[in-house]
Order: sequence, then structure tokens, then C-alpha cells
Amino acid sequence: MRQVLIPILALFILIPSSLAAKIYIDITSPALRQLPIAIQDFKGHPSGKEISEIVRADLEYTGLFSFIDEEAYLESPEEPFHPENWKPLGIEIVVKGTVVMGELLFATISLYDAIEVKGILKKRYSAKKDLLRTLSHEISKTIYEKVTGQKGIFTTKIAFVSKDRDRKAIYIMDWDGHRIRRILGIRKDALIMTPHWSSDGGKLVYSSERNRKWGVYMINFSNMREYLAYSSEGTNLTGDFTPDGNYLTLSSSKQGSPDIYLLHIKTKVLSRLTYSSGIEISPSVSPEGNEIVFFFDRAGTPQLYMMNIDGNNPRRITYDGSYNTSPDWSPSGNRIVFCGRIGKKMQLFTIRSDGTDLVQLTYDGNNEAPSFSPDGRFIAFTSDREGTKGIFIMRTNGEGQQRVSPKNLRVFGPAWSPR
Amino acid sequence: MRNRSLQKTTAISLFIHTLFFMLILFTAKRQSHFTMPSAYTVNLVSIKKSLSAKKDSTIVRKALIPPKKTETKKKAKPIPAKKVKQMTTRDKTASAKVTKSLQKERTVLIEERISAIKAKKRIQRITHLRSIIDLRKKADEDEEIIIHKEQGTNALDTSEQAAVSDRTDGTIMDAYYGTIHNHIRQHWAFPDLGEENLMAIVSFKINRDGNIESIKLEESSGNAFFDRSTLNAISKAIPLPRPPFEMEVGIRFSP
Repeated sequence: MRQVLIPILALFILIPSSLAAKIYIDITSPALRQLPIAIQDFKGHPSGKEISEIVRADLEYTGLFSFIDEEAYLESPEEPFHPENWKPLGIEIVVKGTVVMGELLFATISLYDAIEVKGILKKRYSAKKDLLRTLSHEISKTIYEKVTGQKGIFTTKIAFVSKDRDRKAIYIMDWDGHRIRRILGIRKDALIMTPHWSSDGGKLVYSSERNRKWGVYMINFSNMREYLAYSSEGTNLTGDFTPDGNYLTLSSSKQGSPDIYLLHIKTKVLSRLTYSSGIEISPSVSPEGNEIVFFFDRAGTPQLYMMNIDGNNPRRITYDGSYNTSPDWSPSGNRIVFCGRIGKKMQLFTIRSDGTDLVQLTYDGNNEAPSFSPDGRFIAFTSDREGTKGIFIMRTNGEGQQRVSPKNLRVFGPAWSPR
Repeated sequence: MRNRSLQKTTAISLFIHTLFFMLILFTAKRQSHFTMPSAYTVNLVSIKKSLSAKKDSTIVRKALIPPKKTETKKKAKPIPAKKVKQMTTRDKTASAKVTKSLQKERTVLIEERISAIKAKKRIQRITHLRSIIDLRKKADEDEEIIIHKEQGTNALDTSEQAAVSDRTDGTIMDAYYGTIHNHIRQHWAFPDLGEENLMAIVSFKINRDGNIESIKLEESSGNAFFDRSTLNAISKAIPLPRPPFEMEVGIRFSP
């Protein structure tokens, strides 16, 4: 009995002291929307400076970090981390690194928390000498993940179509426009349309007209071979994969007017989703795989519509503008980016998936073919604002618009890879 | 058996006693916690009655308005009730004169009251504006001055029996909460990661010198990065503007 009583009594005596009246103050928005971070030049080898510059540029582009002029740093890269050197500058995170160049490129980075005064992470990387950019992006990825808890886009890629002097080709580049590689080239008079990634990033699907016949083709990156996934009379334009990777959405005019179909990739069974006499194209599947947003010209002015994955419950979601097309769903599923006509120019907009909260993102030139980044924070698109059509990227609020593809390359339809 | 039941009863009585004790302790603690002594208000009431509007401070007048009103009402009511028919013209004019003079007095009082309220509002607005506009670096000094000023007025009030002591406490405290709100917010960095519905509560005790004690995450947002940003904001904000007295606060953060 006593043994039970004593703790109970103790509890009752202790409780009141913790119940003293306390005032609660609400702070609803941080004054700083960017995390103050310092990335010091990596020491040990001249390439260290280059790597730290890439990392800095990567993080800066996200718009989530703020940097102060290195001139203001109180601590040189050679000195050990000391929080008192950073606190007065308001810096919360400090990154130091060492690079050693031998047979391979070795980099060691350390991440410090200047407020809690502790090391967060120490990581060692090694790579072939020519993979300096890849290594840098890996470092950016690690820092971003450690500091924000989210996966960044630094190791993602963008696929696009371009026309060389002699032929049409599909290219893949790093998200920042570096390391462009041609993965497929076909005859100049053939056509290739916007590619789409499978959700695991292992396949790329695109429509192509060869020998006056439209087919849906697929590249499998595991063996770098191209397959014909579907072909029929009329125009066949592919849309997205479903998230499970089993189906492909596509529009085909084999029954007269273009309609939307669902193709089972393995069995090649085609199920028809729309039956109207109007034009229904550009299907984009929601991240949950339960809805499709598509282009439909029923209302006189072409608009975006939404339907269930089985074709039921079609409903209009855009009402503004006269020509809304090329929808792409954000990875979180709450917004859709699309291309709409304002005056004589095409501009990009986002809208909630229920059709509310329309936001215009671009204003210069013609901007088309938007594609969300896998973290939903960025959009890749084409624009002719600087003359030849190039690939641009921006944040989803329209900030930070910049060209990433080379100026001499005329490009179409970017598709941002999954992670 | 008996022994056991005795033990039980003692246990129960102990339990009830402690419960009772705890309640008293709790309420006592609550009262003692800066709700500004109720003694002031008690004093006021007694002085109001004994002092028949001799002191000239506007504050006293303010205090005096309510009882006067009731008096006039009491006077006014019985007259018509008893002597409605018997009232002569003289009576009427006399009563009219009385009401006129009363009205005059009242309007004067009201005007004074209005001007007092206006002045107070202006002070409030100024302190509020200052707390907003002040630059972070300057903030510490200025806020101290503001607090002292407020304390000064409060001291005056108490010596001259403030009718509005509770309200001035509110403004001091509001001003202080406002300044620490701004001060901490200035140091809070959290990038917009597109996450909604985050909320974390951090509580701590503020010492007289503005340093803090026993900081703890009272309620986590479920997002470690958000939680860390809130704790960092407070770490960076130390020392806080000096409070008028030692206090415990909780800061509820949401992006």
C-alpha cells in the first residue's frame, strides 16, 4: 500500500507547480523564408573550389537558402569549425570540405549546426575524375536532404526532343543543363513528340511518325533498346504511364476523331475512355492513378477536363482563356500546370485540381510543354523568349526562370525525370 | 481486516486531502501569478466612496463617473413617481436647471473621459508602432524605455488609484508579448517547403535579465526540421527583451 501511495502523493504534490498559468504567443510566419547557410570553399585541391561552387549554385537555385558574401566570413576554410564565428552572421548551417585528387576524386564534407553547436554529418565521396559535376550534385543532394528532410532534384535529369542539322533526336541532360547526351537519333523527316518517363525512371515513352505511320515507342534504359508499344491507323499520341507502370494513356484517332485510351503494356489490350466526336488529347494521370486530366474542345474553346481513370465522371476544370492544353500533374496531386493562350502568346499557368486558384507563371514569349520536377518545386518548359526555342526551368511560383539548354539547340517538350 | 480498512481510509483521506491541498495550491498559484493584485481594485472602491471628487486627476474622475450616474438616476426616479401631478412650474424649472447643470457636468466629464481615452489610445498606438517599426538592433534599448514608461504610468496610477489598473496591465503585457513576438520572429528561419498544418509549441521561462531557462519542446509538429527551426529561432533570439517580471511563456509556431 505504502509503495503505491508514495508515488501517487508525490505526483499530486508535483502537478500543481507545473500547472502555473502560462501565456501562449502565436508566431505564424517566419521572418526569414530562406535558411542562412555557409558553404566554404573545399580545401586540398583546386577542384575543391569548383565543387563547392556547384553545390552553392545548386542550393541557391532552390530558393530555400540564403548565402552571405564570403568576404564576411570570420573563419577561413582551413580553420576548424567554431560556432561563435557564425552566430553573429546569423548563419545556421556551415559546410566544410576537403578534396583529394589521386587516381580518383575523393571528397569529404562536414555539415555543422552553428546554433545547436554540433556536427550533423560527415560524409566521404569518391568518383572518377570526369564525374566532378555528378559528385557535386550528390553532395548537394546530401546537404539538402539533411537540412530540409526532403529529397532534392540535384541528381534528376530532363529528357527532350531536338532537331540537329541532319536528324531528330531524343536527349537527356542534367536538370541544370549540363552533360547533354543524345540517346536516340532518327531521320530528319520523321517526327518525335514529347517524351514521358515511367515512374521508376527506367523507361521513356514517346510518339513518333515513321513511314507515315504513328506509333508509340518505348526505350528501356536497362538495355537501351527501343520497342514499338502500339501502332494503328490514324494519329497515336502517347500520354503518361499510370503510376504502377502497367498502363499507358494515349490518344488515337483510329476511330475518326482523337479519343483517349488506356493501353495495357504487356497484353496490348486497349480500353477506350472517351467517345465524343470532339478532339480529346494530352492525357495526364494523377499521382494516385485515379484520375486523368485531358484536353477537350467540346465547349467551342478547347479546355481542360478531368475524368476518372475508367472514363466516368468527366468534368470541366478550366474556364479562363481560349486555348488550354498540355496539362501536367504535380507530384503531390494538388496542382496542375498547363499551357494557355493569352492574346496571341502561349503562357503557363497552374491551377488546383478542383479548378480553383488559377496562377499565371510566365509573361514573356511563348511558353509551352510544362513538366513538374519530382519534388514538385520546379517546372521545366520550352520558351522562345530568347529567339530559338530552349528549355527553361523555374520554381512553381514562377520565380527563378532560367534557360538550361544550349542556345544553339532548337528543342521541344521537356520531361523531368523521376528521382 | 480492520487494520487494512484503517489503512484504506487513511489512504483515501490522504488522497482527498492532497487533492484539496493541490486545488488550493493551484488556485493560489494562479492568483499570485501576475494578474495584478486585486487589492488595487478593492482600495479603489473604498476610496471612491470616501473621496467625493476632490482629486483633480482625470483618472479619478473616470472612476467617479459610474457612481454619479447611479445617483442621478436614483434621484430622478423617485421625483416623477411621487410628485408627478403636484409638480409646479417652479419645480419644473428648478428640476430642469438641475438636470441642465447635471448634463453640463456630465458632458464635461464625458469630454474629459474621451480625451483621456484618446490620449491612452495614442500611447498604445505609439508603443505598438514602435514595437513594429524598431530595428532589431535598436529594439532592446527602446523596448526597455517603453516598458519603464509603462511602469511609470502604472506607478502613478496606483498612487492615485487607477480605475483602469487592469487595463494598463494588459497594455504593458501586450506590449511585452508584442516585442518578444517580433524579436523571436525576426530570428526564425524556415523555408517554405510546401508543408502545411505544421504547429509546434516551445515553452520556457524568461528571467528578469532576458535570458531563458528550462526551454522545452512542449508539442512537436511531427516534422523534425520544423521543430529544430523553432528551437533555433529562440536560441538565436537570446537574450530576449527584458520582461517586467520573471514569467513562463509558450510560443506556438506555425509557418
